[in-house]
Amino acid sequence: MLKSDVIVIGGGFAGLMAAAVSAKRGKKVTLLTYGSGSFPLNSGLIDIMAKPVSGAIAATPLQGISELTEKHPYQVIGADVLKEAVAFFMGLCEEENYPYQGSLDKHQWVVTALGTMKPSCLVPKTMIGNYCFKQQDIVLVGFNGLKDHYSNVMEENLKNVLENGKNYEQVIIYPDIEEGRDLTALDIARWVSTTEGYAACLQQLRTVVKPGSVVILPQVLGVKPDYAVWEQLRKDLQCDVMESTGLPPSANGLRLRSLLLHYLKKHNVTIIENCQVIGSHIQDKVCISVKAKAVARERIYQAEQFILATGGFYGGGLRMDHFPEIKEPIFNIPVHFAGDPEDWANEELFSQQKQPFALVGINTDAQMHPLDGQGNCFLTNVHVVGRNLSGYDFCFEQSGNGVALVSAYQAAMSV
Amino acid sequence: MEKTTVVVIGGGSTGVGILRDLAMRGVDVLLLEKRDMVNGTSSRYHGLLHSGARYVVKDQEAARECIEENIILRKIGKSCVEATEGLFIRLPEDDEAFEEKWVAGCKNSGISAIPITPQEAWQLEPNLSSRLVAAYRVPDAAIDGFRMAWQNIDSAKRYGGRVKTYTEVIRVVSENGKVTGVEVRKFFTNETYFIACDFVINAAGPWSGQIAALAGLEVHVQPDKGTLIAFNQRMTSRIVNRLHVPSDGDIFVPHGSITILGTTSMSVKDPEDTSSSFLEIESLLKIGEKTFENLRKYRILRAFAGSRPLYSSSGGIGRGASRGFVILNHAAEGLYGFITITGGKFTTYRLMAEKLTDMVCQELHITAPCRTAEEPLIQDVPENVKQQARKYFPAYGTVLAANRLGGERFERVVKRLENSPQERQLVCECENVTVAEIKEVISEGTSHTVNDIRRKTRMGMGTCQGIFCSLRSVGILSQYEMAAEKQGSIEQLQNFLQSRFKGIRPVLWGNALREIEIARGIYGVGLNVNGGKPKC
Ligand SMILES: Cc1cc2nc3c(=O)[nH]c(=O)nc-3n(C[C@H](O)[C@H](O)[C@H](O)COP(=O)(O)OP(=O)(O)OC[C@H]3O[C@@H](n4cnc5c(N)ncnc54)[C@H](O)[C@@H]3O)c2cc1C
Ligand SMILES: Cc1cc2nc3c(=O)[nH]c(=O)nc-3n(C[C@H](O)[C@H](O)[C@H](O)COP(=O)(O)OP(=O)(O)OC[C@H]3O[C@@H](n4cnc5c(N)ncnc54)[C@H](O)[C@@H]3O)c2cc1C
Repeated sequence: MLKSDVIVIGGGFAGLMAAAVSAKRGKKVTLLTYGSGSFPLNSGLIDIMAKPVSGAIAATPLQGISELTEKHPYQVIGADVLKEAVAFFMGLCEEENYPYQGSLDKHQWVVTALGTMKPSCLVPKTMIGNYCFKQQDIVLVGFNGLKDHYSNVMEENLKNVLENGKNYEQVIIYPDIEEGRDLTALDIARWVSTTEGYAACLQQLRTVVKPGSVVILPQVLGVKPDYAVWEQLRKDLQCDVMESTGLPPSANGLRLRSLLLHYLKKHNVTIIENCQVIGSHIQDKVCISVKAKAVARERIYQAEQFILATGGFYGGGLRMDHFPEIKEPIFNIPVHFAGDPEDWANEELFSQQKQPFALVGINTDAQMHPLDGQGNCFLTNVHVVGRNLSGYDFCFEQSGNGVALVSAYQAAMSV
Repeated sequence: MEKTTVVVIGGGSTGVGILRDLAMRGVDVLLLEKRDMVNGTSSRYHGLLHSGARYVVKDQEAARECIEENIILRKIGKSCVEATEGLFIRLPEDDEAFEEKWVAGCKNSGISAIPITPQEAWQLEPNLSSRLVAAYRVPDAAIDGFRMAWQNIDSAKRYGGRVKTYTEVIRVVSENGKVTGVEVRKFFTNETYFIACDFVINAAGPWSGQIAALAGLEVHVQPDKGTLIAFNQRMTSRIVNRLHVPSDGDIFVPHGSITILGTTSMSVKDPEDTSSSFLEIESLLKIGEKTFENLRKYRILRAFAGSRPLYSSSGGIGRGASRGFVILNHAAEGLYGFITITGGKFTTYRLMAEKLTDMVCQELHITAPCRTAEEPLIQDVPENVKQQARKYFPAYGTVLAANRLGGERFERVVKRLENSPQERQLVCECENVTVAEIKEVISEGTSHTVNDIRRKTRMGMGTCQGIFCSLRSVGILSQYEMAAEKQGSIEQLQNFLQSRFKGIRPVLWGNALREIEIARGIYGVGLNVNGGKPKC
């Protein structure tokens, strides 16, 4: 049987980044995964840190990190690694001709489907919303038949967020897609990617949009990780053009996924899809192999090192079938919630406090080795990354893909 | 100045029953509800149309009332009642002597209780405990509280009955020992004003003690909180009761595709307290798994709680206190025109309303007889309309929608679907609710929040608990000036998500935990629902 240097389990952002960094370091990497993780949900934005402790937004992402407690993954890993990880990611996107914009020194602001502005850190060019602050005329574009996009709501809330006195206009574009069917942004993105679709879209926009405006659309500017449609539309309209966040499926999340998969293939990573890892063989704190199920048959995969990127409670990396028993199903890494049952969740879904249940996960050392209840290394050749980790609340902090990126980078540098 | 003959306080089952009865007898009547209709116990309950079998040992009179009303409501509220029938099952640990008393009680009260063997019981309900030793079939049924209340209002409106929601009574005004009206406050604007009337009916359920206090009177109503768990499957197609002295957590009621287990019983200070704790859930599951051994394998949708209005002249509390109803004419205490009706059950709401209305009509010298037991609440949906609707609704959806909307509204919705293809889109995929239905409900003018729409359409009540339809419904609601004036879209969205979370919080494990991660991702991260001004 072929033995890899590194096996990565899980194909979300953390898994793909861990595979990318390992492969770039010349390792022989196998990626075992099923599904596309949270890519279709998360807009492909790399949030790093907006709200470290209180509800107040930190001056910069980097400043925010310095305010965190020592249990937080960023503190466990350290700010220097964080900078390297960001540089690696930015370089990778550049190399793939889909450069992201942003740095640890400044928040980037993205328009949301609700018309609020969301702080993020590394952002695709199509989603940079900062232009809204400057320009006077704002055009909100909706598509006939597109659920989950409400220009009226966006206008109502943008008016509260942006300076007074701007002009707002709502435009509805009629895509030439079968009538009466539910459309997602992805359907429209496919339509806009065609020559006829683009031409029809442009023609309808031209009749209303003045040059010099800001044009805000749902994520419909193409399905591939390139800026072709966006650049063309900016040029044709002579406007700042941007995409907002939205409800799933997110075109930009999927663009980032294709970009990373392309990079992995280029670096000879073996990708096994539809492959669910169901167990492991462990000897003296060392993982020898994992067992995986693909369609009907089971297979054993061996490697020197393993990276666990199975995505916490959402991805299936952690499970809680009954309160308070938490299970990590592949390696049986211990995870506990020590508090009182009534302290498992705050009363408010969104409040000025982190959610206790969101902070629960696997504890690690600085090389991302999982720790047992006493703080000792539980497995010496396994590394844990992404949403499986304890000590952070991706939602409160706005740090989800940031923690995934940094922990994946650190794990891959440690294998 | 606004005027009416009778003001009814409280938009629960008791209040709407009275509204309908008074209106049908030709009395000018206005119902005032501080929030949306059915804000109180009448939606935070088990939905069991009692056969009366539960009460036969302790209270024969209550049992008899139940069976009579059970038969009437099946007739007048066809589309609100699911005639599931019920089982009473005895487990080895349940007292055998009680079974004897119970069988005799059923007989005395005229409630059919057909004994079946355990084998027959398992055949009917395969998930039932393998330990059961005795089982009986009784004429219990499931009843939809929202719908029943809605149809009562629709019926009352046809007779000139009026309703004001989001209008809270804050003072009962009297002169020389006689009621002259009420002062009310509008929820969204805080504006207060006076409504003149001759009679005030206090039908505020567990709040009725508080309402009496507004008039300077003392009525002992102890709010008694009960928590319930909704499971996402129909684990039983019949109602299942434990055959023992009525106690916590011993009834399962199937409704459509879900099953509700309840309930606990706990005195609370304020009926506004509808929180449920992990501990209450755990204790319900512990008792419930005696009836269904594999209970913990089922997916929990949410928990919810309501307060029983337990009346006691002597101050007894909890399950022991009376569940029969009382009508207190406070003329005897020196306030003419103020009447309290409290206690009782959902099952007996119509009877309660009849007795109360008799009393008011006597004062008004009106002799019209009560007809609420004969006339159906709504007309049936004509077959040809259903036929038309099948083009737009998925096969099973037509009947569901016809039932929940009733004839007239259903026809209007079908017309919308016909005329505008855009409105055929589903807003709520779990419960099959279209844009047309939501727009129709909003256009009636009594829905101001997403939660109001939810109650009327079932949007957001299904598997996803509103995760995917919240933005849609806020988006549609915001298109209507009237609603948008009242609450901003962000506040609407936050309130709706919070109200859903409240029911999920005490059952936050398994799939619920995963879904909350998604909800926080979508609304907290992707949409930044907490908003705030950007710093740049
Ligand atoms: C709705 C939503 C919106 C979000 N928006 C943002 C945002 O705007 N910005 C931001 O920075 N972050 C956002 N986040 C957070 C961010 O998406 C996640 O924190 C981060 O991407 C987690 O990555 P992951 O790789 O650890 O997990 P996941 O993306 O969940 O990936 C885990 C993968 O592992 C696979 N897997 C699990 N078990 C096994 C197994 N046994 N065998 C094989 N494969 C397995 C899963 O199928 C899945 O594909 C959002 C999250 C959500 C839910
Ligand atoms: C957990 C539980 C389970 C139950 N299960 C069943 C069952 O299965 N079958 C059954 O038959 N019965 C059941 N019951 C009992 C039944 O639900 C109640 O008896 C019945 O719903 C009471 O209705 P109501 O109209 O009197 O009160 P409510 O429905 O509580 O109505 C009172 C209304 O008054 C309004 N109000 C309060 N103050 C003011 C004010 N100042 N101004 C204006 N409006 C005001 C409130 O908002 C509320 O809407 C159950 C009760 C509980 C708690």
